[in-house]
Amino acid sequence: MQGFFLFPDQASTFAGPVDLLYFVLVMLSLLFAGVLPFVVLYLVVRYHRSQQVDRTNPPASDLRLELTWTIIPLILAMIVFFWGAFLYVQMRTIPTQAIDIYVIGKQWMWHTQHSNGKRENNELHVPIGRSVRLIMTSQDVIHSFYVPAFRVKQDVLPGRYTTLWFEATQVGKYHLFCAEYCGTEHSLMGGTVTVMSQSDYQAWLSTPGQVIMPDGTIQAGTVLVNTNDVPSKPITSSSLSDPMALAGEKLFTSLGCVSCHVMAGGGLGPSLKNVFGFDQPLADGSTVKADENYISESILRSTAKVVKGYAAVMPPYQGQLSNDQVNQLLAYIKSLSTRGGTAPSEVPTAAAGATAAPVAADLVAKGKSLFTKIGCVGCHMDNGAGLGPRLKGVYNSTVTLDDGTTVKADEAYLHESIVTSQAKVVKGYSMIMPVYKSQLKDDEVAALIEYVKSLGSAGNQP
Amino acid sequence: MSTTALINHYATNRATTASAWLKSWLLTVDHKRIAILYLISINVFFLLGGLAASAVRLELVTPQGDLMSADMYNRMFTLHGVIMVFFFLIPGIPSVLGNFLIPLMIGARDLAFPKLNLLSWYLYMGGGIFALCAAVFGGVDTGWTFYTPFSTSYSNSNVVLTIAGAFVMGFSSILTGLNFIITIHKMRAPGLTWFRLPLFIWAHYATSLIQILATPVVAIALLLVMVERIWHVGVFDPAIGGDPVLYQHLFWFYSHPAVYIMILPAMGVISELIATFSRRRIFGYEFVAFSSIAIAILGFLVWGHHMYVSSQSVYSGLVFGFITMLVAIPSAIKVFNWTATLYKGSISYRTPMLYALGFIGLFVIGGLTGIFLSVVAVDIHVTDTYFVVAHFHYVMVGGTMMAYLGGIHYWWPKMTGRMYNEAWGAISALVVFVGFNLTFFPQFVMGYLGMPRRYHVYPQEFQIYHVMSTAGSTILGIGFMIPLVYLLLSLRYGRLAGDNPWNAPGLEWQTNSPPPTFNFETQPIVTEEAYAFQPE
Amino acid sequence: MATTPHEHGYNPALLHHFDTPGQQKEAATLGMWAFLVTEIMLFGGIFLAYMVYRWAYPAIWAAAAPHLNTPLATVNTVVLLVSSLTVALSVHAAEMGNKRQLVTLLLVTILLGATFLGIKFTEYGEKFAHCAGYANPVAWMTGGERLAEAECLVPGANFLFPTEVASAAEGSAAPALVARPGMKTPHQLFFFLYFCATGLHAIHMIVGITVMSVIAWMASRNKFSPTYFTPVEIGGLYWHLIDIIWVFLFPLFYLV
Repeated sequence: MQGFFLFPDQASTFAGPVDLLYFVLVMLSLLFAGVLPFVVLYLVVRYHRSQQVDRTNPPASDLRLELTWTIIPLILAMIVFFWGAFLYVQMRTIPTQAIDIYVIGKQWMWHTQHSNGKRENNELHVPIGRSVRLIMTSQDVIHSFYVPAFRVKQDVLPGRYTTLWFEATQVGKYHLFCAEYCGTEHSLMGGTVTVMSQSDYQAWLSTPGQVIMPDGTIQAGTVLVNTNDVPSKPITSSSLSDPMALAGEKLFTSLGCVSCHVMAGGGLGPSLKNVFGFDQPLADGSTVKADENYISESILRSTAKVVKGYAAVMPPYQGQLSNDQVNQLLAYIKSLSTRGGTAPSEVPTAAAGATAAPVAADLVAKGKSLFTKIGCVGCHMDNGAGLGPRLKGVYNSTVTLDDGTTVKADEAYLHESIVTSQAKVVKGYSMIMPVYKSQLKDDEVAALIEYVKSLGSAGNQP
Repeated sequence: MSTTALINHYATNRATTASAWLKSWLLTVDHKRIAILYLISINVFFLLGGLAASAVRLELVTPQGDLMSADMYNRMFTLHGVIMVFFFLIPGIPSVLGNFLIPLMIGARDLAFPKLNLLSWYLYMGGGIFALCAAVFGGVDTGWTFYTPFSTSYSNSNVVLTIAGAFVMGFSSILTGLNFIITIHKMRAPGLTWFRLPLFIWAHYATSLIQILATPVVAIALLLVMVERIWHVGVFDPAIGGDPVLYQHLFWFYSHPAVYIMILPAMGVISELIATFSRRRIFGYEFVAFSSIAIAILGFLVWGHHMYVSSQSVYSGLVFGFITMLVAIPSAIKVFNWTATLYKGSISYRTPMLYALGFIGLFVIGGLTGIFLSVVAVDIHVTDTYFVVAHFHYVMVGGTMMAYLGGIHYWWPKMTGRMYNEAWGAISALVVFVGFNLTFFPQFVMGYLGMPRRYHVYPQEFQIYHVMSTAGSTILGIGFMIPLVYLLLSLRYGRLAGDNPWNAPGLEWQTNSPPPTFNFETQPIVTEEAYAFQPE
Repeated sequence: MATTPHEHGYNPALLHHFDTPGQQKEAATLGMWAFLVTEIMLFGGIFLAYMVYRWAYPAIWAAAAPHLNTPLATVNTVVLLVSSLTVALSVHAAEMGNKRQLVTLLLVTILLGATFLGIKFTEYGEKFAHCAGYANPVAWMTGGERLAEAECLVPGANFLFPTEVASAAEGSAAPALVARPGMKTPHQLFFFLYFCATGLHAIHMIVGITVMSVIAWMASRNKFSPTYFTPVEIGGLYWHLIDIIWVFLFPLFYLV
């Protein structure tokens, strides 16, 4: 099938199965559409009025024949239906470890936004061998994102998010088309999807390009990075994962969302921790799953649904935020939830593995510097009087949680306390530690864990 | 009841002045005259739609947009779609052949509501004039599907005027359907039980059910679009929480059954043609009759297969896909039954039969590719590409159009009293068949390769298919023009046909050609099954 | 149509393409029922839109519905139900050959229909008056009492749904929800559907009144007899449909 001139390039994991199903359909059709004309031809020749043939007792009907040619096509139809159904369900089931890319369609171009902030127009660069999920919305009319070589297509709607996923299997450049008529330049609303090897993709991600700033403007020639004190201008440096979420966090503050949506709870608006991906109880007693559509509706048309126990006082932001800004807020709110994440756009490359596991001592030193630089030391004070518990001797000790249970503070617990800090809270402390999941790379978390371990274990200090 | 007195009245009181002649046509309530009015107006619209198609195909010969601007191209394909769907295919066979033949085939003097029938024609013309005005005033560029929010909030063209045309035409369709249903229920001749009816009647009955039930829904959909466009507020506007996909549901709830409005009458015609030119009763009469009803019912349950990628849920996709498989089966049953009718028949290769045989071949391809499209996993790749364009042209042109031409030729002697030139009939049938396949088969290939539809410019690699397609369309166009010439000539120079040139048993052949005003000298009484051919 | 006399004699209302008056009446009745089905499908589309958005925005629906004038609409419902009664009685009168009663009942029906439209007109007038800033239509025309709190429930550029401002709690710096004209909230969907559905219904009511007027005129000209009163019957059927549609509209919009 690959390279067969009547089929487009097979460049995704879907292409082969779809082509096979199509080929079988073609064969079945050739069977019917090939045999039937011959039968007809034969009959119209043999029984032409000039022919002396036996025409006595022509049958008026034959139930067995009717049932045969009803049931056999029905069976064949069911076979292709179920085959297609299984394939279809696969195509609509998004794998958990997919890279998220935001897509905005507008008359008459595509904007694609990688989660490290890099943005493309009418182009999409993706790595080979990794699931990619496109989270798409339109700025105006209905468009449709179509990549024939991947055999995927999905309408892109205004006021809603739709998703499509694929895993590219072949390096190269492929057509991107808009496949829903959208006005004058509909035929020109396309571009190229470039599939690259994973290392090439990683390199591409880090090269400067366009980014969307939190205030919605576009800046070229930069890559957005994550630091805790983000200056008004971005710093060009190696990128960390998901600065989209960071941009969203800045927006969250600058728009004043943070004054109602208090993370610790008790504000005029509900806390947004662990909201994305969970069912939300509404005022009328029903529940709704907080997906991209729910979150964006809650921002843009906030009076539509109100969470139980809260008053309908949130102003709607329709018309005040661009699609890009909404996407940034989405990314931020996702980062606050244990169900919000998908894999960071960073690809674990061979290069990372090639460098031998750093020596533990180097890790401890690194962790110590991070502990200060990120600001952990501000809450986790050595004298135990800080907002967070002291960490000397925590490792492998028995920690009492606020619900009365106890847990061993092993590496998994330490990891969890950094990355998803609201999961467990130590008794006597409040649930105010920020979540660092989207802000720290795996090796940085590992370094912090090594540092905490170095502070002593099981109640004993070094 | 004797109608001799009335016949005499009309025979002696023929219109003698030009204005009286005009009134006798424009104020007629005779179903036969109304059918002729439709014949003329529908063919005029077909020519206009064909011109629009020629413009589209001409532009597509080259990958660049060098013949016309993008806006003009968009208006051209929209005009082609709007005219062909609303003003040719949907009224087509029912309004011309149905109007003429239904009372004749059931032994009645007219339809149940003759004045309503005339009103239907005026509504058709009114709607058509709206659409033509829209075209003259700059056209409309939304596609015949008028998807929101493009049509409501973004298009800079004559959306309201065009939609008004479709809206008004919809009422024509509803009234025609209503008329047919009551006529078939209440006005059959004595002895004409349901299972003695010609299959043409069963097909039109099923069609009429769809017309009255589905058309009002698109009326409301289009009304909501018009209101939103005029007053800039509406239920399809995402900014106030509206859902543009709701429009698609309301639109396709009608427009899918609408395609069965287009094909069922055609299948009815084919049943008549196959029967007469095999001189045999249709094999499996009951199965063919019930399959029409089954298609009408199931056709209401599958609209979501036009919306697999519209953001419908996976479950919706699966349900609609499943039911779509089911709706394909009755059509297959018909095809097999027609084929079986040929067995032990006495077959002649007259022009109507050539069109009927062509129909079988082309409809099979069109129907099978419909199965392709109903498989959701495949549809994701080919929807909104030329694959879909090829599929629906196979069923609508290769299907409905062939049946329409076959029916026109078959009943031409009854309607006009004249025979057409058989040699030219056969030639043009062949030209149409060849031209059609050359036009549309390459489009299947193009579609699977990824060529999207409604594209004014396209990547170079698709050009070869477009060139083939345009070449074919030229041949097809010629094939459509030839009958126009010889059919019109036959009105003057054609051999007089007599009552029953085909020696067929239907009631319509038991009266004059053309029939007198009240159709029959004396009311027929039916004592035998349909298609009771005498051995030759 | 032919005007020469011919011998079918016993019923001048029998049209030429029918064999018997019975056949003609059956055809007319079946035809009207088929037409009513098409009307149901027409309103079905709007009801579908209503159900879709009510399912999506239940809180909005609950907040918006009380802003409709339910008392007036209740009166209207009673008016329509009574008019269906008079229509049914008029059919009975026709059957009995009682021309005076028939014409009177038809006129009462028309009057009730006009009352319905009048009340509807007042309801709409109220909405438009509020948009213009006045308390009621009379005040709008005379330049009288103005509306205390800004409100405009007619969908469009000036739509303004009044919202309660939550008391600022615990001195938080929360921005209060202040409604602005043209603010795009889904409340517009409710009122858009309200105006469309009741407006479409009102158009059908106007058609119904026209039909009834024609029938009343025909009755006064002795066109009907106990053997032929089909137009009264099928006109009555149409009127009943208009009533039934309102019976669905009323609870859906006013009694949320």
